[in-house]
This record gives sequence, C-alpha cells and structure tokens, in this order.
Amino acid sequence: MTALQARGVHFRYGPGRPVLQGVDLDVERGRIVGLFGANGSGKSTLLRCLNNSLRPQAGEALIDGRPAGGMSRREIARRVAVVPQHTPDDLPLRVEDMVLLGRYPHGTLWGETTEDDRAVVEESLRRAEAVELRGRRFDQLSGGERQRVVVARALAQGADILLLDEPATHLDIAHQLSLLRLLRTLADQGCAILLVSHDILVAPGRVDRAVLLADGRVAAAGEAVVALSPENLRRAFGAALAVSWSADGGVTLTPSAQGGG
Amino acid sequence: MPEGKNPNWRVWALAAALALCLLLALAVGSVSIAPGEVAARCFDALRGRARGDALDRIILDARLPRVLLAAAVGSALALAGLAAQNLFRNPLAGPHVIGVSSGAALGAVAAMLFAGAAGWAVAFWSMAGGLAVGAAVFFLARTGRQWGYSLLLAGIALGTLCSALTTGALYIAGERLQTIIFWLMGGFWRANWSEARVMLPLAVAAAVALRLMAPAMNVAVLGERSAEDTGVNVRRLQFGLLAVAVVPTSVAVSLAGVIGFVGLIAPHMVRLIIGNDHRALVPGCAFAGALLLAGADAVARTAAAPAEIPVGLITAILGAPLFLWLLLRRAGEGRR
Repeated sequence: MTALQARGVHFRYGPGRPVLQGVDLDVERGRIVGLFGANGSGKSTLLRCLNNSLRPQAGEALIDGRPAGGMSRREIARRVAVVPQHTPDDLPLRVEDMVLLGRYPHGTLWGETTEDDRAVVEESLRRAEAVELRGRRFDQLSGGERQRVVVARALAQGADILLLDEPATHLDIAHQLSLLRLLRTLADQGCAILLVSHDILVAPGRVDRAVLLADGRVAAAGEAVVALSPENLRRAFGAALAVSWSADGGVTLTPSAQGGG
Repeated sequence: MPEGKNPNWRVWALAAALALCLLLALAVGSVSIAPGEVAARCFDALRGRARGDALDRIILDARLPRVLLAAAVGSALALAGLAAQNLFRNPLAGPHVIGVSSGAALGAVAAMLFAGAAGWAVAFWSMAGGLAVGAAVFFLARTGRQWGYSLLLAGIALGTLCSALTTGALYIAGERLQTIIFWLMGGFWRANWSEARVMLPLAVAAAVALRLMAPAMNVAVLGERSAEDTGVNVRRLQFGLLAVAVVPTSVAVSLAGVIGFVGLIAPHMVRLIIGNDHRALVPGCAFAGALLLAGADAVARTAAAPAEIPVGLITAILGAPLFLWLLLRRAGEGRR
C-alpha cells in the first residue's frame, strides 16, 4: 500500500494567496521521493499538510490509506517522523537523551523510560550512524553530526515514513552525500522517504522519483532525468538552466545563454 | 530531558530537606520547642492522639497552618514558574510575566479600596483579578499564529496595565495606604487552617497535573513544530501549562499577597541540582518552592521578633542577588 499520499491538497494561510492548489503526491515504501521547487513554492507547507500539522482546506493526506485528519498527533507520530529544517542548536542535552525524546509517542501516562525505549534508541543511533556520538552534548556537535542525531531521533519514533525538510541546508557537500547515502540505506530497509529540497545539484541524482512544485501545483513528476528538464526547471525556478546528467546520476546545471530571471 | 545519571535520589534529597525545614519552622518562634518534641506531637496528632495542651495549640493550631500554607504557596509558585518557563521556552519567564500576579494584586487592591473588603472578600476579588487576566491573555493570544510569543506579549501588556492601575489606586488610597501596601508586600501572618485547606490540595493538584505533562514538556524544548511532529498535542499542552501558571498563582496571591522571585528562582535552582528532565524537575520544584518559602517565612517571623518582616521582602532580598548570580553564571557559560 502507498505509505503516504496527498489527494488534491489545497491550503492557504488565513485569507492570503493559496499556497497549495490541488497537489497530488505518492510516497511508497522502499523509495526516496524528492520534492523540489523554488523558495516559496509550497514545499514545506505540503510537508506539514502531509502529517496534518496543517489542515488542508480541501483534499486530504492519507497515511497508509487512512485520512491523517482522523488520527491523533501521537498516532501520526508513530507512523510519520519529520526531520525539520531547524532544530535549536543550543540544547544542553546528551545525544542519547535527545534521541530518547523520539520515544514520546510510545510513552505511558507518566512517561517512564522502559528497557524497550533504550533498545530502540540504541538501534536508531546505529542506523543513523551516530553511535559514537551517544555520550556527547548536542550543543557541542558539528552541523553534520547534529543532523545525524536528528535523524536518529526521528527513527526512534518507530515511524517508517520519513519527511525531511531541507535536511542538507547547513551541510557541506561531503556531509550532504553521506546523508543521502544514509537515506538510501533507510529506504532499502523499507522506509518511505520524502526529501524536500530547493537544491537541485546534489539530491536529484539520488532520488527514485522527483516531484517539481511551482506556485502550489505539481509542475512535473517522474524520474528525475525527465521531471527536471530545462523547460520544467525554467517554469519552477524562473531561471534558464542547461542540465546535463552523468552516467552515475550526477547532475550539472549551467546558466544557459538566454540568461535567467 | 532524561539524564544519564539517575536524578531520583536528588529529588528525594530535596524532599528530605523540605521535611527538615518544616520541622525547624514549626520549632522556632516566640516559644522555642525541641524539633524532636515537634515531630512527636505531629505524629501523635496524625494518629488522632493529640494532647490538646498549650504546646499542642502552639504547634498544631498556630504554627502548622502557617507553615503548611507557606509551603503550599511556595510549591504553587515554583510550579507556576516551571510551567511558564516551559510554555514560553524562556528561562526568565515566571508567573508574573503572564500578568497574573499583577491582575490578582489589582483585584485585591480595588476590592479593599472601593468596596472596603476584608478577609475572604479580598481573597475572592484577588483571585478573580488573576483569573480574569489569565483568561484575557489566553484569548488575546489565540488570535496570533505564534501562540507562545503572542501570549508573552499579551501577558506583559496586561500585566503592565494592571500594575499601572494598582499604582494609580495607591495614589488615591489616602489613609488606607499602609494596609494596602502591607498586603501587597505579601506575608502569612493571617494564615489559618481554612486557608491552608484551600491551598494545600491546590498545590498537590498542580504538581500532579504538571507531572502528567512532564514528558510532553521535555519534547516541547525542541520548539512548537518539532514537538507537534513528535506527537505532542501542542495546544493542549500550552493550555495545561497556562492553567498551572494561572490558577494556583491567583489563589496564592489572594491568600498571601504578591511574593516575588520564588516562581523565577526555584525552577533554576532545581535545574542546577537535578538537570533538565521535567519528570524529576516537577517534584523537585514542588519540594524546593515549599522549602524556600517555608524557610523564608520562618526567617520573616523570627528575625526581628516580635515584629514581623513581610516575607515578600525576604524572598526579594535573598532572591534578587541569587538571581543575578545565576544570570552571571549563564553569561559565563555562554562565553565559553
């Protein structure tokens, strides 16, 4: 069954301009879907609609075929985990304790930590390749290390649907690649992954499917090579770009002769 | 947040310190009584074997309600401070920031001044003032998108308004000025069993309610969005925290006047002792708040005996330097 779906999602903040205008999207288990688009194209809003943090005015998000609108926050968090764009970087927490916070949706009334919680934290640290960070303090980690801990915290929720909102923003190229490798491993383990990014240099070659969002609508969807064509990119980013793909899925963008806007 | 080390024994240590403090507070006064004697009398009374002599009357009728009321008010203020600091994700927040103390003070002053109220009537109007400001802040803040932020701003605005109106009332108070100012400074000299019977269950209820919210409070430090993504019903949590910050504080101010700094200081002291896990912080704050205020009240009634120093003065005089020290320590940590 499709892990996560958007069906005709419309959303606007207050009386303003609509941000999403009938978006359809599918994310299956075992795959990485890249959601690309310019700043302000509605990517993050769509992500928040998908786990019902924002309620669409029309259309709906389905989690494992069930409407997200009918599920409690805890229920959603047990199925869908979010790696946010910003995590406060001044939290004086030990890494292990930070990851343990991900167990909240499984907690009891008084929230005592169980052996089971400890085991899941250990496993999540291992999967996110952050075991050696366990005893360190979160506010003393580098950007790349911090991101792995945030991924581990998301995994500790026990969810197999991961939504990542611009996870590579503060990472250098080596750490971006290592994060994408980690996401591939997680997808191979059966996770459904939606990767939101405005960066079209590194990620596109490493996703199974690309969805291009422009002005709150899906401008193109399909294999990255097809979806991210020069015409589609011009529509989405308003910039004229020449795209060339290498055999291993790498992509090179060059501003084309017509210039861009 | 859960710490690697087990903070439980530190909570128990605070509880033990509180028990000791209560015993000493019962022992000191115009008549000094041996702490062992105090303990024996209290146990006897608990088992329904009170002796009813003069010593019993001093301990059980005069001192115990006052000590318990001070402890309960201290607990309530500390818990309110912890709730407010988590609600606003701001370590400098306290019950005063949401304007509750100012609203309660205004209610009391207006009742004394314009209706000639005394006793329970003052308490009632004070509570009404605090709750009204709490409710107003809550409904004003609902309109904002950044809930915690607009709550803070609405609280500061309403609190400032209430303080200004109180000052205005004092300006025209005339011969009642001294009574009102004495009330505003806060104290437990009027304490009796009926007040303790109101405040004690309320403090316990606040502690239990906040302890139930503790796991969500731990997650809330990640920010509103992340907390929501992790399964916290953020609105419900914020409403719960606001209720704990508003209701016990209003009642506490109505019974004991405005007592500064306990709500701000106690959570910070407990963090230094226990760490950041709210599951331990909540009972820790309940014990530490009680310890601080029962202790301060014991000083207030014995330091200049037979005269009594307003306890609000003691907490502010001890609290302000302590607070500055914490602030400088924080700044020092920030530089490292």
